[in-house]
Amino acid sequence: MKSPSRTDLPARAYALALFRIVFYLGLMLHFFPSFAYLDELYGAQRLASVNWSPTLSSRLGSVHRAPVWVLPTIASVACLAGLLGLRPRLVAFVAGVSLYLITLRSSLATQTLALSYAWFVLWTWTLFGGGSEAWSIERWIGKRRAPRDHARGAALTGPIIVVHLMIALFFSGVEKLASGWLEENAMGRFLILPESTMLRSWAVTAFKDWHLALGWLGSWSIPVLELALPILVLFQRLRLLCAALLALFFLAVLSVFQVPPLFAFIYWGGCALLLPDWLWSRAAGMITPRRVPKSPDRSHHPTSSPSI
Amino acid sequence: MAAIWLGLSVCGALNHRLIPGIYPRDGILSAVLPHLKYGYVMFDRMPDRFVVVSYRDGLDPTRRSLATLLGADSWGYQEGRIFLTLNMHDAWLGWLCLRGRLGPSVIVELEQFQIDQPLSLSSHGRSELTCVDGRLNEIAIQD
Repeated sequence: MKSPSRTDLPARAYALALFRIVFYLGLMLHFFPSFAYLDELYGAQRLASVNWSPTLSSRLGSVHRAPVWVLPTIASVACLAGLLGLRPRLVAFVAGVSLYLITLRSSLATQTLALSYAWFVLWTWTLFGGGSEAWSIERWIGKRRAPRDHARGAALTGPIIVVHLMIALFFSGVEKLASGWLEENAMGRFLILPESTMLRSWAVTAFKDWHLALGWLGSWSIPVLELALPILVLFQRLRLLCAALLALFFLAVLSVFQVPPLFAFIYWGGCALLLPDWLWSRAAGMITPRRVPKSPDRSHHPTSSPSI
Repeated sequence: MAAIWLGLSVCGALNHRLIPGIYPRDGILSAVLPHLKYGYVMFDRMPDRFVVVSYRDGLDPTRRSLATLLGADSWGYQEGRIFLTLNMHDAWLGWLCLRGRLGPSVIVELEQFQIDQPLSLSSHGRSELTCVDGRLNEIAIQD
């Protein structure tokens, strides 16, 4: 079977490939540093802490009696394989299960709400596949054989991830409204924090006299942004602007606060999925020069895929 | 299948605050699909009272971040993680001491803060602790 040439790839294949790379980088950045302290954080002497599912954790005693290095090794290999685009469906399943078991073992170093987004992505990948059509080992091997996971369901993976990220963003805004962000200057309560807290040192100094005004600005603009972006992305013409706003928003959050960067990595990857097809087509053309002459009949050129 | 999958995402969001009780949060569904457990809260509320930790080494009066002592088991947000862990897990400092992470010359300083209205920060006492034979001992309290 002849494998598709690079120019036959839909533009969306590059978007999902970039999401895959950014997502697995984020996962590795989140988990790998804690793997350097295996015994302390995950061994028998670890500090017991509330985790995702105490019920499931107690029922998985036999799994957790395995040597402490087993699960992190499996998870590390799976994340690396995911980054390189090898068997995305299988790798997502293995990464999801192993990382989940790790956090069930000890949530102290890894407990962050961003993980819930990560598991959604991994389960989605397990169900629908895709993501290795571009910038992957599968693609590289594809010079000799066809890429795996080139199924119809794979075309849904990117759109489903985008829709979920937008649902999460929207309800995050709803949550802020419901918990009184607008009335209480909730962001100001974060910006007033002293050194050695969630606020970065430069921000403690810079915001010292401005926390009240900047707090009100953040307390209003963040919920508005979170509620508006999921609606604005419904308009094709505004998606580039939405992606830019989303990327800048998470860059600003990471610059000001010491929070796990996994949220930002997942949404930065999501920005790649939001970019319009014409941009990806142009970018793909620049990155991978054409080998075959362009067909005069543009209607046969598969540069688009199911839209969200 | 995609519609059911995304429908679950919406249920997860609604179950958190708007329509609680659609499914039990600690049930098997939340266990297998952990993204359905906590809704989608990216930045929650800062509590009114919190504790900030730092340390000094022996007679050196310089206060340092505990992050420099403990090493980087999280990249880019070590101080943030220490702050959250300290305020969410009462036993954490004692556990660090028991595990030998706080040397005999280390003096841990805890400072309690309160966020007041109108928005301002006030200190509500400071305590100093040392780790001896795997146990934390309070050595001084200043109001």
